[in-house]
Formats: sequence, C-alpha cells, structure tokens
Amino acid sequence: MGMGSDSVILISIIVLGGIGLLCGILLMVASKFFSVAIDERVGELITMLPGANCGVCGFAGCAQYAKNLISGQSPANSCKVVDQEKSMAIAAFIGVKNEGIVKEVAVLRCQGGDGVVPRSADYTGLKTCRAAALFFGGDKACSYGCLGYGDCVKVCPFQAISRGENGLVVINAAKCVGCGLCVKECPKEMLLLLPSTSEVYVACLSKDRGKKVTQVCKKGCIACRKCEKACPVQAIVVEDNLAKIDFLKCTNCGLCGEACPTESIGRRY
Amino acid sequence: MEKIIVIFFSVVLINNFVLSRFLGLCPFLGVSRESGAALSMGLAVTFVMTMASIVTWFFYYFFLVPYQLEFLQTIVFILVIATFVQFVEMVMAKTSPALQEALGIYLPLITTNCAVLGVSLLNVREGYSLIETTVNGFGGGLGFTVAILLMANIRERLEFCDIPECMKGFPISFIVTSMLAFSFFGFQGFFSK
Amino acid sequence: MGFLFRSGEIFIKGVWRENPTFRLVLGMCPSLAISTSVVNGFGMGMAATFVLLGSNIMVSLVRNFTPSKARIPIFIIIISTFVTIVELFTEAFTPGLHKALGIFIPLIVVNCIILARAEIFASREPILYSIADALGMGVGFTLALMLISAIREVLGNGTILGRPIFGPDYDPAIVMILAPGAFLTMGLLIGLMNYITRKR
Repeated sequence: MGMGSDSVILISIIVLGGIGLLCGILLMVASKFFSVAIDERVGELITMLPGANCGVCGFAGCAQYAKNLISGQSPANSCKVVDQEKSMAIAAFIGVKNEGIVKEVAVLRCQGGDGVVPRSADYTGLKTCRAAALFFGGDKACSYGCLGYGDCVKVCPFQAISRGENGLVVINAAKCVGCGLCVKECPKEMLLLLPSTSEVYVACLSKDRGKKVTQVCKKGCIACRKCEKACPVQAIVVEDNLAKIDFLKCTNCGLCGEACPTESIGRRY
Repeated sequence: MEKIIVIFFSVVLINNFVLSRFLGLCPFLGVSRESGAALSMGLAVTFVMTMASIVTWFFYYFFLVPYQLEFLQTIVFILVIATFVQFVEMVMAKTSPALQEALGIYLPLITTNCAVLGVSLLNVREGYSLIETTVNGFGGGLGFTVAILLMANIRERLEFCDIPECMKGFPISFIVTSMLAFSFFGFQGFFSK
Repeated sequence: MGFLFRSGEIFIKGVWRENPTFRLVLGMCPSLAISTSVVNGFGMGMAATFVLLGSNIMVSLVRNFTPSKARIPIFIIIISTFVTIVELFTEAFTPGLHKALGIFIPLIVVNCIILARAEIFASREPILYSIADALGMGVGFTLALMLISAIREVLGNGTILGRPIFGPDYDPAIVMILAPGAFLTMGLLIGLMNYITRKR
C-alpha cells in the first residue's frame, strides 16, 4: 500500500471534511439564490378551506386553490364544499366580493333495487359499475338502471354515498356537499346534482315506454304524460319517453308525483 | 459502442433493477398504486439515477482514487447523492413550480433509496467509463420505470378483485411482483452468442 | 427496575409485534436479495444489527445537540460510518460472506430499518432503551432473514446450512433461489403473519 496508517487517517479526514464543506457551501448558496417567497396568507387560507382535495374548484387540491385565490386567478366561489357563510368569509379574507355559491345535492335517478327490478344475469366479471355497464348496460333486467357496485361510493371524498341493502346506492344528503365527483364517475349518468332548493326529481332514466318498462320495473317512467297534465306551472315535460323537470320552474308542489301511476317521481327530503 | 448497447439492454430487461437485482423495492411497492403517480416516480428516479451516476463517478475518480481512499466510497456517495437531490429540489422549486408539483414529493423518497446508491456503487465496481456509467444509470432508471408502470396498472385492476383479507396489500403485491420477475426471466440469454 | 422491564418490552416488540420485515415491511431489498442460504441470512442480520446498535447509540448520545433541520444528513453520516466499519471488517475477516453479500453490505446505509429507528426511536429515547430497540429490531430482522433463507435454501437447493437434507435424487426448485422465488416467499410469509395476528 505504501501509506502509513497515520497519514491515511489524516488524508481521510481532510478529504471527507473537504467534500462535506463543499456540499454545505453549495446548499447554502443554493438556498439563497433559489429561495421561493411564500405568502403567509396562503397558509391561513388553507386552514379555512375544507382540506378535502376533491378538485371541484378546478385545481389540484386545496393548497393549489388557495395559491390561485391569493394570486387572483380564481373567483372566490369556486369551492362548493364550504357552506355559504364560510364562502363569504373566504372572500372577505382575500378582499373580494363574493357572488355566493349555489349549493347542490346529489340524487340517484333509479328505484330499481332488488324486488323492484329482477337481475337478468349472473355477473361474475370485475365487480365495478364501469365494467358491468359494458355488458348491455349491466346485469339488471332494465338496462338503464343503477347496478349498485359502488364506483360512486369509492370516489366520494365525504363518504356521503354508500351501497344500500337492496342493490342500489344510498346518498346521505347531510354529508353530500355537491362536489359532483360521483356524477362524473357513474358510467350510466345515474346521479344528478339538484340545486338545494329543488326537492322533486324524476327517479328514472328509462327511455322505453309503457309495457316495455312495466315488464322489467314496477317503478319506472312509462311516458304516460299524466305528470305533464298535472303540473300547474308546466315544469315537467316528457321527452324521449322520459319525464324531465325544469328546476327553474318547479315549485316543489309534488302534484306530478301524486299523479304518477308508477311512483317514479321522488321527493328529496 | 456495442458494449454500451449491451449495458443498456441488460440493465433495462435482463438485470432489471427491481425485478432482478432487488433494488428500489420500497418506492416500487409504495408508489405503485396509481399509474399517474407511478409514472412520475419512475421519471424522477430515472433523472436522479442518471445524474447521481455521473456525479458520483466524478467524485470517485477525482477525490477518492488519487488519494487511495476507495474505502470511503459509501460515505462520500451517500453524502453527494443527498446533497445533489436537495440542490435539485431547490432549483426545481424556483425555476419550475409545475415540475415541482408533479415530481417534487418523490425526490426526498429517492434520496435514501437503494436503487440510486446501488447504481453508483455498481458503476465503480464494474469500472465503467463516464459514458458507460451514464448509460447504466439512465437504463437502470428506465428499467425501474417499466417495472413500476406494469405494477401500477396491475394493482389498479387488483382493486376490484376478491382477495382474501390476510393477503390484501403487501402479500398480493409481492406475489404479483414474483409473476413479473418470472416473465422478465424470458429475457435471459438475450445476448448469448 | 422499571427501566429493565421497559427495555425487555421494547426488545420483544422488535422481535415479534413490530418485526421489521413482516410487520413494518422495511428493509425489503436485502431481505430478498441475500436470503438464499441460512448462513448468508444470519451474516447479513448480524451486520445490520451491529450497524443498528452503533447508530442507535450514537444518535441517542447526540440527540440533544442535533439541529432539527440537519438531522437526516447527520443520521446518514453516522450510519454510513458504521457501515464502512462492517464493510472493511467482513472484507478482512469473513471474505466468503463479504463476497456472498456483495453490494448489499454498503447498501445497509440506506436500509430503511436503520434510518427509521434512528428517526423514530433513538433520536427521542435515552441510551438504554435505544440499545434495547436496536437489539430487538436486529434480532427480529435476523430471525426473519433466517426464516426466509431457510425456506428458499431447502426448496431451492435441497440443503440447510450447506448440508443436503434430501437424497441426491432431489431436483431442487431453482426458481426459489432466484428473484421470483424470493418475492413469492416474502408475499406468502407476510400473508401468513397477517393471518396469524388477525386470528388473535
């Protein structure tokens, strides 16, 4: 080897110390040159936001939304998860006028659970709605119905949906904040966001009429138009063999629901 | 030139860092739940492995070999890698916040990762030149990315399957990895004459 | 006497309830790579235990002096020093083991177990408990390694501790010595551990 053990120790210390010093200086210099100024208000704003990171505001998480709020690149009512009061508080915090938010709640447009609609197949594939829906709309006798495998349940960040006992999903209106993630996730567009002022909705998506519907579902819309005639404000019309409610006109009187022979119009409490 | 091609293909397919050399398993298992995150992780690892290979090569041949201090390679390499990753993080935060959002959280995870230190040590053990080192580092990262992408896509589909309770999580991931390793075995003997 | 009792508790936890390989799932890389024979498993376990012991003691000694921001680099430097000691020691005194473990001796530096214990335990607890934790985790790791190695060696090589236990006509399942066998063994063992602990 040729080097005495003393000099090995000395050289090791010098070289290691030198490298360590080099690294330290590099990092120190870098931290001065590459420092990023963070507005303290962002942190405060993040605590005011719900922290669910659901993405309804259009940004990837509450932290991003807060940053964009401060930099003025987002209107102050993009977050639909907070209630009206909090939304106003956030707007006041960053000093802008708030136009207010419209609260929405999700509803399921189907009543075809076990006992109402029979299963048409013994499905043994991937137990997700998205996969099952590929097979002629699923394993229910009515091809427009909710399959109940719970893709919406998995995607809800607030645990407001759960799989019901009867093969449909159940929405907990108290927990639902109207973020709309479930609506996007459902492959059959079964879910709908109702404005919180609306209580009456058509709980069916079947585009078939008359006997074709009653053969598979006891509570489906048969396009008989009795609701159209019963409505005092013409808020409900039957298009494509399916009743549709215009929520701007609807007064929640419920006369359509009373007139419906198959009970396919529901009321959200 | 031929040697470089051999090094590249062998490190990506035949001696895949994750599936054959058992390096980089922690991020492989940890970040492979979702294919988007897996891709980001793979890119971050490729970047760090390539740069780390180059930087440690310099430190080895300019500071350790001239003073016969090769035995200090473990300490020096890990120090250099940690410093370098920290430095890159700072530069990224300032120059490209978009990149920082995508890859930033993975960088600290990669620092103390056996894949990065492993590739640096392997490079000096095999006595690779600078070009060969760079190719080895880049190929290693690429191999990691291929493996983690495969794993993430499989795990996304595994979510919907009926797995026994005790096998959920790590056990089934390991078994899937063993299947992947099996299939990569097919590449053995690729370069035999 | 309370501290002796607590030390014992910490030790047992490291071996069974918080076994680093099967419960914490840390240190996967060496566990799978070198566990091809019981001797290798034992050797690696001992090397890791030594580093763990050394680093836990040192970290615990300096825990009141290390600034919070610089603690990870300091831990890594301490750990890498002990790893270099182990490297040189095995190269000089146990060259067979050194060759078998190969690159995974220096890779003990980035073994998640050691950094995790330094970060979670030794930087907060006094020396006696840190020693108990290091020994517990080290013994747990060694036993886990030996278990995996035993399975792989018996099935993949037909030997245990180098001695053939089946007759000469035994055709070993070589795949167990190679990568797929390692992952398979680990997956099934963790699954088994989950099953046992869940039943309780």
